[in-house]
Amino acid sequence: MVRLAVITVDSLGIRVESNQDGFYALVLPAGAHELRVRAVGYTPLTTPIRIGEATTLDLLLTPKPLELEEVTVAGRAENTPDIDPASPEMSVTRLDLETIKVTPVVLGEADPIRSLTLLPGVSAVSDFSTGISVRGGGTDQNLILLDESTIYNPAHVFGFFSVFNAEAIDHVELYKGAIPARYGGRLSSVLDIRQREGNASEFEGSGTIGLLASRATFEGPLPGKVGSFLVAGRRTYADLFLKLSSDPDLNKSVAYFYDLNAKTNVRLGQTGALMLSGYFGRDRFKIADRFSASWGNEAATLRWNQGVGNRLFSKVTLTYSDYDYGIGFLGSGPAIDWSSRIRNLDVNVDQTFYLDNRNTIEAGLQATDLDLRPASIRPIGDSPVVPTDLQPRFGLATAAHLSHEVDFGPVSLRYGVRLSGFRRRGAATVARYADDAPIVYNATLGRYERGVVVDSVRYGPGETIVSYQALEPRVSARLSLGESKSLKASFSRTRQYLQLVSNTNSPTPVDIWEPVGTYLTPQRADQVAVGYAGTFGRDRYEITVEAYYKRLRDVADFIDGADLALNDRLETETVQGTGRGVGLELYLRKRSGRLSGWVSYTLSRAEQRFTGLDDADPGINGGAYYPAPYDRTHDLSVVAVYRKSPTWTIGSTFLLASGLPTTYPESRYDYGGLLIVEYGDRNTSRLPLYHRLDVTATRTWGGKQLQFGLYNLYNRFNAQSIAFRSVESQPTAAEAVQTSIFGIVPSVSFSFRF
Amino acid sequence: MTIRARAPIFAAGLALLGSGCERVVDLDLEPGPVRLVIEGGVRRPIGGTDSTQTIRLTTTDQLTSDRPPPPVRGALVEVSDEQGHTWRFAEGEPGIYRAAFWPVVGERYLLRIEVDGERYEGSDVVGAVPPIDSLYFEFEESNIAVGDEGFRAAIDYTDPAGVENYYLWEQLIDGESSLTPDPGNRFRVIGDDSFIDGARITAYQPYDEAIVEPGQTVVVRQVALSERSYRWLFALFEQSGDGQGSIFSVPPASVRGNVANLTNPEHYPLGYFLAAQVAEASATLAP
Repeated sequence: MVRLAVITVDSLGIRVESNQDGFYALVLPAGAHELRVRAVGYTPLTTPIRIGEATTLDLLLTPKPLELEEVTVAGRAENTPDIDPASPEMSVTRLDLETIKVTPVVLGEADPIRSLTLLPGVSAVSDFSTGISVRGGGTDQNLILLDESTIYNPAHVFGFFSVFNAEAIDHVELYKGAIPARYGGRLSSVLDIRQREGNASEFEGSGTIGLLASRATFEGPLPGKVGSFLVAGRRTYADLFLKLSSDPDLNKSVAYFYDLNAKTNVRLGQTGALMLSGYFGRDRFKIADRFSASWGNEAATLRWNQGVGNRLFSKVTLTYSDYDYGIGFLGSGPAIDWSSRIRNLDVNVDQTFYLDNRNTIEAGLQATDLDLRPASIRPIGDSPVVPTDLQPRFGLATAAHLSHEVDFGPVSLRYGVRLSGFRRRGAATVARYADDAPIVYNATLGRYERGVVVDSVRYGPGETIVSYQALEPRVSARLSLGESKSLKASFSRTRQYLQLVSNTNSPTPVDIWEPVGTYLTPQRADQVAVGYAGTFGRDRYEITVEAYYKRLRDVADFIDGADLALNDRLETETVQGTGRGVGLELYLRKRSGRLSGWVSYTLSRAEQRFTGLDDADPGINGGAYYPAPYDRTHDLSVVAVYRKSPTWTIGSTFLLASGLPTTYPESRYDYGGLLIVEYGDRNTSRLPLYHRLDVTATRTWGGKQLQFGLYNLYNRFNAQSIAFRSVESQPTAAEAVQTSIFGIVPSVSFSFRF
Repeated sequence: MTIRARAPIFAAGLALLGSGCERVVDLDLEPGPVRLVIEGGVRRPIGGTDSTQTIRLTTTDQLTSDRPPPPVRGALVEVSDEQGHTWRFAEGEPGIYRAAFWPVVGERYLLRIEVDGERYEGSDVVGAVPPIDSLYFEFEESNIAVGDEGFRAAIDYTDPAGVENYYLWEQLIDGESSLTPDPGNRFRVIGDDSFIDGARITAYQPYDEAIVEPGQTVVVRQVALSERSYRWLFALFEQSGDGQGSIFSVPPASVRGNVANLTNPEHYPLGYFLAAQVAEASATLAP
């Protein structure tokens, strides 16, 4: 099937798009017409059609011969641009596999999430991490979906790689605003990642050998050509080198990760399809006999699409997602095994009615059952540790959504509403605090303290502890300014019922998620955006300009010195404040020619504020707005791909960005012989300017591809952090130490098809 | 032994992955106000004979200054209990104030300091601590986690059942403190009994990187902490040493203790006034 294909009947000025599942509906008067079909990665098709009565027409598009030498941004020359000027959709970014593969990345491991950070409004939280901040938001404000199944922790190697194997991914869509009503649950963005479908006509395989990992995929038609399948795997092999070490600690150590992606599609008649997809990935680490860690995601999706009659497209999706980690501490002291798990089961029914060529109505229902086990502690061997479990968290997230898209020609409008709810359920024991205050401000000592527990309330299994509902309106509109140019505007309100419990600079695999409850209330965001989208020069150039303003309320933050790990009463460490963000995003892309690529620039500000628990509490930074942790004033990315010859392609990216906010000390003192630095207000300084140039050179010949890469070509010492410690030769004096993650990093990888 | 909040050890252990390379840089930072720093308090040793109580007063200093911590001289330092007793602390070496008395376990003690026309107050309750059952030495092979091969001091103790206990372990090797700037201190040098309530803990090495040479004498003190003082030290250790360099470290902030400036609250002091029962053991590694 072909998603997002544009079908036009030029004589009548009718234009419809096929949906995510390739389904389309077209209302035409009886008689003869000519259909024109265009789609990403396919040769345009023009076909005559004769209408007598309602007809179901399968359009077979021929894939454009996508040979490896076409692995360039230019490979999409005649395609619809990212921001389709004819659609009311805005603040959405699409990345296809070919683009992801050609942008240089560290160690040559193509990563869809790292590629996204080259686009406007998206920034990496660290060179080390694949955590992203969208329009200044937190890393846990992004809903990450893999074939519609939620991925709770998309990290391999402590965040260094994302779990998305580029070979198994078809495309990535990121909604930064104007989020369609069918999505919800996170404040800042929706990252909708779809696994690739197997080749439905012939068997095909490919492999990649890289410095860090090797990958293989195999795909082909199902027997009887009823559908297709795809299986892809990836595994790192750094641990094989550890085994060669003569150091007894190192050669007993373990460090690897793997991914397995699988997807199969079966056609059900002319307008139905069944899809089953799965993802399994795991990291394992073991350092000598002292420490071991393992974590992984499992996600599965079963989806049934069915066209009913000629106007209704129905979709039922069942997803399952599971994230768990386990850590073993052996060293000195009692040996413990610590594990945690989050699991959800989700049912999603989505109906799209194509009323006529101008009106589409989409409605749906969604229910997600959440089961979180924050921690389970067990002794190892004869350790005296008492087996202990933190309270499980149970919840049911529900949503109903309805939206209407109407096209008046020069103006189109999509408006809708999402009714979201979250019900926190037992079994659970909820502590009650004096004055209903789980956290109190000690004005004399100028610090937050835990509230005093007066008693507790026991809730039975399934009993409602608390429930929240909200209406989330979503509106977007488009006004055409002639052919292929338009103005857009949107408003969206989002609610978040789950937050990541993490106060480190970057998310870690051992962070847990905490649902809203008696004390922690849902986080809320409103966003308005206006923009311009246009294509020029026979669609060779594409420009988008967007400006947005966001207001966030009840955004959770942790107090200084919060004790988050293995804490059953997180409400004693959490405060909720407000936030705001404003930004201007510019994006210019050239899609074809020997030189292609894009320039992306973002000017933005993201701030937060906590004004205090009561009158005596001045709040954070005296209750004033201060820069959010991932606020970047300027962020520029330039991506250029030059097709030097049919065999050689040069890709390069250049990044220039303001440093992230940081807190610098104002003095130092001595306690117990330790040098301690004293800090003033939060986030009042910035790290130095960030810039970097990466280059890749790719040689392709006869189904083979050899890629050389140089990350951070001029070896810029970019600051990850600036910390303070005592000078070794003079322990009473402090020095500032700048840490950088990567110097210049070369890479090489080899791919082949079979 | 502490298990609670041990997640970041995981990060610390793998800091090698995330820390990359380092470089000392020059920064021109705005100096903040000079603040009073309080260290020490009142201690009740189990079976000890010395009733000396010591409080050290210093101030903060400019970040890059290389002089020793500036002592605070001529301060009025008093500790009182709730029974109406007050002990005046006399200044010995500059900034070191001493008095001799036996604090009582379970009693609250109030600290009062007057210096430069400002009055400071803080209080703490003497918490109970179990004795150290034995102190001995264990030989460790060289390994990634703790460094070179050699002897380490290890203790056995029994956590009292049914009550929350928090601990601080101090260690002196031939009179010299084993405490070094290391964010990992928060997982070893202090601890709680969340998952080991009532257990007998054996072979615990609070300073598993401190090598003891034959002939050296080791003193280990097991100090009672409260939840508040435990959390204060946890935050302090978290930010000391290389605690801020990693992507898994927490954003730094001022670590506020339990003493307030009553005259000018904005000019808050740092440090902690700690009241505690202390168990002590000492042993010499046979040459």
